[in-house]
Amino acid sequence: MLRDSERRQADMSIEIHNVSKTFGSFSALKNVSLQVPSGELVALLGPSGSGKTTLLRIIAGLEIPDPGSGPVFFHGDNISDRSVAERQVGFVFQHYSLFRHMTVFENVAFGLRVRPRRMRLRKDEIRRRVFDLLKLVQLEQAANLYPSQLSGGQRQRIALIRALAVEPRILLLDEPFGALDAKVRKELRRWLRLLHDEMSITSVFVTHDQEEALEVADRITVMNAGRIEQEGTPEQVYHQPANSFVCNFLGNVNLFRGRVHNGRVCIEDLEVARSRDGYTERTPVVAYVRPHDIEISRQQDREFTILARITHIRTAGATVRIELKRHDNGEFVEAELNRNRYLELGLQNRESVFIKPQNPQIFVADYVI
Amino acid sequence: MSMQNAAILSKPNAARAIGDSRGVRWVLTGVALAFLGLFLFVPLVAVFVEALKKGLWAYLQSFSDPDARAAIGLTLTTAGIAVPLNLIFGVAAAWAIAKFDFKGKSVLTTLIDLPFAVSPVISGLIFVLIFGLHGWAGAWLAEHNIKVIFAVPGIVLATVFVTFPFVARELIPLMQSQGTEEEQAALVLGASGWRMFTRITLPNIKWGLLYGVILCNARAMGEFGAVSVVSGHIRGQTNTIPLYVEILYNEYNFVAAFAMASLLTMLALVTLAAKSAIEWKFADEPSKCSGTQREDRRI
Repeated sequence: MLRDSERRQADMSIEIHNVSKTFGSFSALKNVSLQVPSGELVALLGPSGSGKTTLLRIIAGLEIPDPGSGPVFFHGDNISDRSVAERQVGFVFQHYSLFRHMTVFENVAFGLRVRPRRMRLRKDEIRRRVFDLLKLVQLEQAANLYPSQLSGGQRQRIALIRALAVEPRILLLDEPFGALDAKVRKELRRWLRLLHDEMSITSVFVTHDQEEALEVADRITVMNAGRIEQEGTPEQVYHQPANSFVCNFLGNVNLFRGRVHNGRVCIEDLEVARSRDGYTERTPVVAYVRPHDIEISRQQDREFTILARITHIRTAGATVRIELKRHDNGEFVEAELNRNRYLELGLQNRESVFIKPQNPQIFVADYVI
Repeated sequence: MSMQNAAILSKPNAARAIGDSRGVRWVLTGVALAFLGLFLFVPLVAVFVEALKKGLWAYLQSFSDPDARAAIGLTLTTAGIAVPLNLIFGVAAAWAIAKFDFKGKSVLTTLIDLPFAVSPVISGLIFVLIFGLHGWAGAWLAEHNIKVIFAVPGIVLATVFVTFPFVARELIPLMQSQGTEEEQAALVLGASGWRMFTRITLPNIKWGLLYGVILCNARAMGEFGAVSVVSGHIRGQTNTIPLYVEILYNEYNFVAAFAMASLLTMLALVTLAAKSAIEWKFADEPSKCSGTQREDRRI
């Protein structure tokens, strides 16, 4: 029995083809296709209104896609016409949605108790299963409390094991840590990662927090305005963003404008990359540079060409963050140095220095603001 | 809101901070109490004083009259039919309005309030126009020998109409504030629609529902206007308690009239007691739960 369910979980991929969803006149999803490999933990990452929650709810069956949308497959089975209950998914809601009139124990046991009689476990088995799960999240002592008597983090953990109690084929989490404070959040996401590694249940979670996605997920699907912008490992989306949106959304970036000149991409006088296919002479480009890829020097030379004035220095934290204002166009640049480099340079506020952008991500400036 | 105000006023320091001096508070409280005494307490006492004027024996004797018994029976029957019907209708309507979006939702919401907006006499008249001998369905009903107007069915119909907003009105805001997430969670966990309703929705609305039922019942038993129009005042057959009180009073049978009235008064007192007991319980429970959940969203 257990081995059987393990095997079921072991190969449970999700496939979605050309799904669209409109609410009134608002188009939340536009022809989205997604594949979630079996056993992986995938993050749907995007700003609010990007359609990530809608996509998750369509997978769960809580939302019905527009007519004409393609099918949803769970491990090759077309489940588009199955009801929410039949899909056997675990769903963790953003605001926990614990049953407020039931104790923690009753909450976790609910899914086991509402099973059809022939599939229902015996009373003592239900009890054992619930306490095993409570032990897993170290909340056995809370079994007889009501959800209102728990902290946010505890509620979220109960919501998670309530979803897991029915041995779902797929685990779906809607902004699972959105309502928690930073410290609990961090703890819980590490815990989620461990849990996932242990159970290797195919999981999809929605988040708008890029740090959370980068830290927890095996793969990240970046969404924007109802479309998927990029799909890949955290490495890929962070280091090889497919477009300027992805680059912008994943972490802080500085924007530099440049042009193609003599077959090279230049920011001001500095050559930062070779020209690519499709770039012609004088094509305007934008280059995104992460704060830790901004180098600072007192001397001007061939590489350090951009003059900027330091407007603010924040030394609290592992790295030193420096805000600069460019002399030529007045734009702000954020740089991040490690402490040693900062002390070595001995930078002062209001001082003028030269900066060099490194490892830029270059895109054709299709929209010029 | 009102509870917050009460809490503030109960603290003398806070009251001073708002700027109400002791004198103003005394005057306001005094006016309110005097008003209540004059318009509520004195009539309440008067009912019992008049009813017991000729002694307890005469008071009890007035209930042994067959017509009085019939009136009590009819009132109980009417409420017994109208309240369960409105319970089902109210829950269904509130469910539909609070949990779903559909075309014509605002029309439905407005229609639910209609019986509150229309004078009860007009409500009764509408049924006479439809089911009366010269009404739309009158000829057909007469042919099949079905009596609606001046009979029990008409009284029940009028009562259902007049009392149908109570349960729905009570539940709609409650269900709206609770949202649908718990229901969705139940569905995802594999519950059927019926189980979701009985295990999740119903427990969450039980106090509000009970409150609505109590108010609905009080009105169903006490309704005069609409019932008066459709009843025909046939002694022993189509008189409810309120109608019978009027007849007795018009016949100068004061002790009997007030004795019957005292029944309704006692119903009112019981209703009030039950209502405040529920409010007390009700205020205790959701504030414990939904209040803290809402706090969380702020974080």
